[in-house]
Amino acid sequence: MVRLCVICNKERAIVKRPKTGQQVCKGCFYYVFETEIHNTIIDSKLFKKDEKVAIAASGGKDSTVLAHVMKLLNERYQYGLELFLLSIDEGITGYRDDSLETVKRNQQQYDLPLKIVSYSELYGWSMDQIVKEVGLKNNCTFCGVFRRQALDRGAVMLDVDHIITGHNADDIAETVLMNILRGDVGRLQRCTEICTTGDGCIRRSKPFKYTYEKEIVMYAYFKKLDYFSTECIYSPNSYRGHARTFLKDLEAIRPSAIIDIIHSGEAFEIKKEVKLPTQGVCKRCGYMSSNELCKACVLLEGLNRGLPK
Amino acid sequence: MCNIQEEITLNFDVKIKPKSKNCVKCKTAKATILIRHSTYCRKCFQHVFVGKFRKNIEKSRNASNSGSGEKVMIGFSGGPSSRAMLQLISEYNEVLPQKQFYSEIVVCHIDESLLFNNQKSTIPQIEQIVRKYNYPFIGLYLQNIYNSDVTKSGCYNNVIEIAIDDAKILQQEDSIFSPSEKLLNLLNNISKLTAKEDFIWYLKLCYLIDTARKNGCTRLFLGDCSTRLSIKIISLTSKGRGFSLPLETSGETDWFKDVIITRPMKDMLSKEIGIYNQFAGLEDIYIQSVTSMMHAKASIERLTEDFIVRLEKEFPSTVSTIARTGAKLTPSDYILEENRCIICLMPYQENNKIWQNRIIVMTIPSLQQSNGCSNIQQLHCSKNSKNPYDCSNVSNDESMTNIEFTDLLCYGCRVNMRDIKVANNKTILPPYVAEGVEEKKKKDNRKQMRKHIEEYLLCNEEEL
Ligand SMILES: [Zn+2]
Ligand SMILES: [Zn+2]
Ligand SMILES: [Zn+2]
Ligand SMILES: [Zn+2]
Repeated sequence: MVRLCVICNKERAIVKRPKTGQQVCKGCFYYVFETEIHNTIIDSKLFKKDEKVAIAASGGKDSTVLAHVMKLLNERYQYGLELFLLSIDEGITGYRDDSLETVKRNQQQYDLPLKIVSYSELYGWSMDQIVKEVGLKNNCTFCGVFRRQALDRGAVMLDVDHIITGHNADDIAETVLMNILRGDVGRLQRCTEICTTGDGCIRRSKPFKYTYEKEIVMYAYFKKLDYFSTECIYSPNSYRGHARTFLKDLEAIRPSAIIDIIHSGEAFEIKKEVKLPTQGVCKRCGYMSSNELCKACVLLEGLNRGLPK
Repeated sequence: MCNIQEEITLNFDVKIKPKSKNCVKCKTAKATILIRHSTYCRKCFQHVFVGKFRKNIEKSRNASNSGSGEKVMIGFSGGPSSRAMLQLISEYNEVLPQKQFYSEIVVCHIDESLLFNNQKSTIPQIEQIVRKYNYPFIGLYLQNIYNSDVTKSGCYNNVIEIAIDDAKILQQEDSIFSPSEKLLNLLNNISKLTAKEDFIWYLKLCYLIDTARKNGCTRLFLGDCSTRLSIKIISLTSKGRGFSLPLETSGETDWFKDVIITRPMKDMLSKEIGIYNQFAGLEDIYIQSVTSMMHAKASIERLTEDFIVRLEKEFPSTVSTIARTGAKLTPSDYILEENRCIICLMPYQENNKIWQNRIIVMTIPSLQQSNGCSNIQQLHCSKNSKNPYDCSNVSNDESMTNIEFTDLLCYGCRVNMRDIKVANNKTILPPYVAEGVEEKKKKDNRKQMRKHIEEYLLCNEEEL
């Protein structure tokens, strides 16, 4: 017996949608997947007409699908955006080389201009060199801090003031949980915002805010989009690991849990008397920071001080 | 306390700690108890424990500045935390016999034995405990939430019947189904344990509040301890109840107007409570829940409990950090008294249904409209949907469409309704829910009338 798609009632259902449990055909899956992203973009007034937007491209599944969908929606709904691919080369031999190849292929497929900024170009240090210096212990800290800044710097080079990233609903739900577990109310309030602005004029947005990770993989699989597994070779710290497992279990119990958590996160309001750390800017590089020097500059200073002459 | 259940096993072996250590409080006595990173002697432990309780209860008394003469109710499940609370409240009220803080203390327990085949009622055991305190005792059976007197008016006998495409308000006929049958049918028609547990908890809460109100109690004490509250903070978040979370986990809330809810145990860990009860010789009773003895993935509540208890073992400040996070949240300024969910009585946000339909697209636009526009109205209901709550749509107005009905629900309850399967056995919601619907309809009607004649009115509503 052939199961029919519950949406169109015509085609054969080939997949059970992770978000809703509905059995749908390929065409309807594409439609709802893309439309939800479009609705998110429209309802939050994410873009201005003729805006220049950089897609943070890592070569991983999220950013590969993001580039594909953004290109498609931009044409279908005439957003009038000028899209760029922006990629960071951390300088990790083997690991990064392959994913950058993916990004380069994407560039040709989608015919989008690509800018690659490298750690060594920005900081004078590649991740390989940093690992040699500090060992395997703190390299995740370096990488995370440097990457954020590197994207902003790359955007400036492209003369773009809006970066979109492939953060998906699972990432955001996990961050909501993490911020409750860590007691970080400042971040708890900010982490569900679709668009955040640093001190500078560079905005960061997450069009996949309500998009399930499983559906991103599904979309890439059906559309035969090739991506490189960019799962960091260093596992997440144990606390985040617990939160991730918990979220997966929640999703198994009730598929809507991911959206439900984001919905909760959006409703949270912090008491007025609770003091939140004030956001200032780094004295050295001007990047937003709650201390005098931003994390990247502190780390960099430490690296340079320890540099053997 | 009348919470789902206090199942946390107490790790008593952690009390026996390095012999040489002295109590951090008195610095002289040998420490026998370890709470997180501090060691205490027995005396100081009890002192600190009772002190935390007094601080909370004083704070709530001062805030309401009711002085003496307040009649209060203790929600008593019989679990460790509510057991300790009963003892602590009675000690507190007897400090100065000539000037009691509470003029009268009533203890209320809701029996849920109906939900567990052939289980004996918990009421006799509970009554025995309460008798020691000489307080009036009210023992209720959860199924009696279907009685017409468990309503605001006290005699409202309509109920809501959930069908495939509508929700009917109709006269309750006791001859056909007993309250027990109605409750069992309702719960049996809920296909998932998460939703079932949620339903049971809010039915209990509504019953408790109603009972407090009818008995003239202006305050209801609930025994949620910090371990329980941190579990609730995570599980409520996971169930999409973030909007009402501050009301459901705070030390005190006046959301129910004439009945203030106070949680004086909010700063105590379940482990501390276990130790206190042991020292004080307080016996608790085992209260079964629908997920007792089940694996951790049985329901969201159960999973969260398992997650937090395990995390707390590895990182002993987990519970206190979560509780502190929760305490920094505040009810939104956009909370409206009239936007009260008719099932759980918690506030709901306006327009969240529209939001939901935008980011979870369940249908494709019909052909005549398929010009790629992004109109909310184009999201149509698929006709063959087996569950009446799969999506929402504006449709013809009969008795009450499911759409109108779900408009009166909070997000969390709407998620629950998706797990209701309309089966042969009727799904009937208790009279208080039906009463809430009629009340809301009346209010909306009045609003409409007012709009109609607004320009002629010379004064506002209250002055009329
Ligand atoms: Zn289809
Ligand atoms: Zn800096
Ligand atoms: Zn001591
Ligand atoms: Zn509700």
